[in-house]
Amino acid sequence: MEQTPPDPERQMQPALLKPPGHPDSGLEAAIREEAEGAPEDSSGLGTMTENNFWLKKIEISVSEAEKRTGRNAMNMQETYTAYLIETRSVEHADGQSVLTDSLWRRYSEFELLRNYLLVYYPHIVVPPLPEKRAEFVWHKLSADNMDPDFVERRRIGLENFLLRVASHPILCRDKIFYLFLTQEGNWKETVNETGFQLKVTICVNDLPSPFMVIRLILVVHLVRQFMDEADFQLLLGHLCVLLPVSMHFMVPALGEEDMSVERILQLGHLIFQLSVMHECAFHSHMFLFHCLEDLVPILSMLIPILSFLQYPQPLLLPQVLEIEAPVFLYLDVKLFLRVLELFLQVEGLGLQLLLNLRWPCNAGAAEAAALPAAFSVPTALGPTAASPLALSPLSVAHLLQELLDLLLPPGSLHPQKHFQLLQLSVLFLQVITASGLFLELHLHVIQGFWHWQTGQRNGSELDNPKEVELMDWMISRRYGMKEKRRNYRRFTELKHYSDELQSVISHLLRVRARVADRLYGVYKVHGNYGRVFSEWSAIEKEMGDGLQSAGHHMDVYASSIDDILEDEEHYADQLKEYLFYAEALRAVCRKHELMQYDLEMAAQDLASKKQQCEELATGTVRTFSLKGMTTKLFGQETPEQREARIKVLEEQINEGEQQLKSKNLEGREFVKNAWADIERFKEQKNRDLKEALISYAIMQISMCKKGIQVWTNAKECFSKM
Amino acid sequence: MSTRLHSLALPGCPTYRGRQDARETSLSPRGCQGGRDHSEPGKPQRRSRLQPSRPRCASASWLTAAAYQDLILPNGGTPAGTSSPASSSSLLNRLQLDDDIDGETRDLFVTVDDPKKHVCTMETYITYRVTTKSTRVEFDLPEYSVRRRYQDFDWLRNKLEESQPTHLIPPLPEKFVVKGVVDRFSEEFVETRRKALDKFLKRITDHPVLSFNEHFNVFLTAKDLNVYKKQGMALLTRVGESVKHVAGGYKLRSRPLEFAAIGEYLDTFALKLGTIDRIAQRIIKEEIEYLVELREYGPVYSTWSALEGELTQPLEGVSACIGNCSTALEELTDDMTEDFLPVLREYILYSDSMKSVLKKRDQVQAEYEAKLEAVALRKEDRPKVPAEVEKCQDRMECFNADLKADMERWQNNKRQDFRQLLMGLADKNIQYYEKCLMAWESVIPLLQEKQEAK
Repeated sequence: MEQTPPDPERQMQPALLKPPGHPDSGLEAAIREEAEGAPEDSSGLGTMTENNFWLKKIEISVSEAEKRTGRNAMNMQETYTAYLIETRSVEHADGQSVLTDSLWRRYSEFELLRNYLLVYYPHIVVPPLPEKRAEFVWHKLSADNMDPDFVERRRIGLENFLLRVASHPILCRDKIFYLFLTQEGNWKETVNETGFQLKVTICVNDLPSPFMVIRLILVVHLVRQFMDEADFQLLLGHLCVLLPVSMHFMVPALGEEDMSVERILQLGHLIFQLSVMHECAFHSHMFLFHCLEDLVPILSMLIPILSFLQYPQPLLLPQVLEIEAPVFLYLDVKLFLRVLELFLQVEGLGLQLLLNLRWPCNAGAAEAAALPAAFSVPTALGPTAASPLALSPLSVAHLLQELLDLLLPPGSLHPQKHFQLLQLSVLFLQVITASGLFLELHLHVIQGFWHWQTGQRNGSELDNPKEVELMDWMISRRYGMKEKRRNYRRFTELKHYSDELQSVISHLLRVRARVADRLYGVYKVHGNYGRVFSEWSAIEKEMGDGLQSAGHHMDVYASSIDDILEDEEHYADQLKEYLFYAEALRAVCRKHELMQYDLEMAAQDLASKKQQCEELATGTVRTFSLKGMTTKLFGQETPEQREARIKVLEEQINEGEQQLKSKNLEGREFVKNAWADIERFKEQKNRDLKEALISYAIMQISMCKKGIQVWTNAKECFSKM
Repeated sequence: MSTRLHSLALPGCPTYRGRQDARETSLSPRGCQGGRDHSEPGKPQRRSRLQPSRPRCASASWLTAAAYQDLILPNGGTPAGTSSPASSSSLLNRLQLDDDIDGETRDLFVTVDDPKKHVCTMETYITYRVTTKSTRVEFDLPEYSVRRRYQDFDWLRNKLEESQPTHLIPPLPEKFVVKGVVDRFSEEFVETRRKALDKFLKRITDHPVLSFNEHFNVFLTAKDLNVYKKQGMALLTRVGESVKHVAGGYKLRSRPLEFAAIGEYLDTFALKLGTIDRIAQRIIKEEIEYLVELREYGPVYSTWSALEGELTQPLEGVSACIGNCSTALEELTDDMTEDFLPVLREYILYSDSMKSVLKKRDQVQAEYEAKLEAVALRKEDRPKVPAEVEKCQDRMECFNADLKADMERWQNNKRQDFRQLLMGLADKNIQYYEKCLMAWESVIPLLQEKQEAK
């Protein structure tokens, strides 16, 4: 691309040069532009000229689709469709040099591009791709991916996607996008070099379900035995594309000869995080059932390790198997419990290792007997627990309380265990909170926890006011800051909106498909008139001619529906785009929640370090913490040790403060930019949808006119009879 | 039933024909006059006399849908589009005639209305009010009003079939609705039946021969029909027995070409009409399902509009528009069910009664042929053809003439009716589309205006 306009080239550089791992390089590129005095409007609220940044210079079109066969990464035969992208530079108005460039891309490459954009521009509502598989179709349309009509509609959709990206004030400057349009070979490698898969902290959009991940891992494990190293690496690479997020965690684990305990633990973490975050997983009962099936092997994988560590023999497996008798109503509750169980075990294990403590054997046995009872509680809660999201705040609080009660029978209170459990619960809460899904809910959990605390305090000698402090601190931290609260509300509303939008559009599309089905029926049955009229006309003398030609008009009427519905499909595609946009919108919201969580975690970490430092300095344990507890348990260190630790801590504190500052800044930037882009998106949405509605209305009008025309003709024929 | 009627027709012939002749001569200004005994010349004459009445009847039946008052207006002449010269000229005459003659042309008006439900211990049934207005001399009063139930109509039809076997008797609506479980006392069912019964009486009224039938007169005027019903039963059994042996046994040598053609035509016609009926029902079914979906489709836009700020109005507009369209669609399906289907059904039944008349004709011909054969065998003995055979031949030819005239009348009626029916169908569809068009056109400014404002 010698003809590359200099302007975008320069601006694109920073984005590319950003080290991977930095969450917002694209954003900063934009900010830098601002500093450089480049076009002001990098924040996203583009003026028209700015919006057309690229479109003014380059025309983009997806002009052709072609069916191809090739070998994929796993050396398996596959058929796919490739799309021809044509770009034409029109930078000079005098028509000096008009360069046309064209290259072939397949759908998966579009997906890769979009995933990359999603990761690099978390604050932007990234335009969606057209559907991978035809959805919401009425019966006549085939759902075949190779169907010419479908390919054609997808071609239009892909072109639309490219145009949308190209007209986006920020996205259009992206180097990878530019290369996507201009460089046929090596593009994938370039994308992978950016290391965007590794950069992901957690980018939840398009996240595969946790259970799919598990299944994949198992499959990969099995396949591994039959593959040589190179193929295996290829496969992993392929999976990386498929699962950009999770593979970050998975790949290292898979590369090793044996899965170490740490890896398993990591996996456990991941599974839990994913399962909580991936809301979709909680939506469909059927899906959940499959999830459970998936859960069994992973649990069975964990069991030997757990037993090796002399952890109380897990009781999960029989429980999980029992669920196979499908009690769908309660299934989501149960699933959650399984995951919770798993989490508790894994987390407990982690703590065990950390504290190097062993639970008394008899307590383990008691626990083993008690747990199933605890888990049956929510089932008894009945229909309230079986609502779509299944876990009402109260039931979780209730559950937690029950659980802790059972694990901690009065009288046999062991302080270490108490701390352990408490810490465990706090961790649990944090993870729950991280999901954003339970953001509202966790307050109730805390309250439940609080009640439990106060209840316990009466019957136990362990009365630590710091625990209360901890609770207060957690509550205040979460809801303390006004600005955050406002953002929180804004984003919650937005998230709510995108949820609603998604559900209303998908409903609309479903009903529309049915309406189209029926309309098709009405028209096509009229076609039978055509046949009967002409047959009838054969036996009539005077009426014959009129009937014959009227029959002909009926034929015309019946066949006119094909075109009408084809046009309507276009309208459906427009709606579908916004259906997928809703998902993109949600991704931004989720990203915001995650950042918020990160920030809070950092702040919390910092605070606890400060406290530790203080404790060490003054030599008193004033707060409830594990570190403090261990100190207490294992005795005091020497003053030198203490000095050294204080020093280390102080360094960490400094570092943490820096980090917190940058995270704060980052968060604020994110909110600002995200909001700007959301505003832009809203405007675009209003404009687009209005246009779509107008064209829909026009379509309907032309349909009516056609109908009137045909029936008027028919009437004329009848009147001649 | 049909066999009984066929056999009935034969022996009752002389007496009944005499009666008919008398009636026709005395009452109808252009009824068929005697002369049946001199067979050959009588036939064409009779036909030509019957003919003028045909277009008039056709136009009258065309008018039945309209109110009385409209009768005087020349708009009754719209069906003039018929191609037969006889009818057009007679129409021309008719248009030039003054009110007097017009009144004479139609001197009998019958309507069926005001259905009432009667609940007895034994049964529940519906009666309809039958109102008659006439200037004819057989009616003592200018106006009668009686209540009749379906059974009475059925009786009338049987009587007509019995007494006028050579004529095409209009069909009654089906006794029970064929299609599944329909509430016989539902408003729609009763109304549909009332219309069909009204049509039935009007068609008889318009018939130049049937309208003078004594049973018809009784039906219209008698306070208590049951008396007559019992008499009829007795007669029926008596005559029926004497006839039995005559019927059957004879095979028709050859059906005259024109009647064979009519038979074939009727078969195909009934077949096609049945198909059209099925198609129409299917369309209505599809439309109703479409309506159900539309009813769900519209509100989704409303739900959506609640989510949006700027898009609220356009989305509401679309929602309202879809609502209008579904109302229009509902009207369309209602019209189709009420107006389109019953006419189709009537004609399907009509073709059945036509077929049964044809069969009777065949029987008469068979009888004649049988007698002729018998005579031929004895020819050497008796050289002259017996009067009995001659009578029989005469009867057959009479039958043929009546049937042909009726058939022609029916064809004409059918053409008018279907023209009207199909045009109505087209009109209804056009109206539907026009309503939808209006609805959608009204949305456009709503959408565009907003955009410009932005």
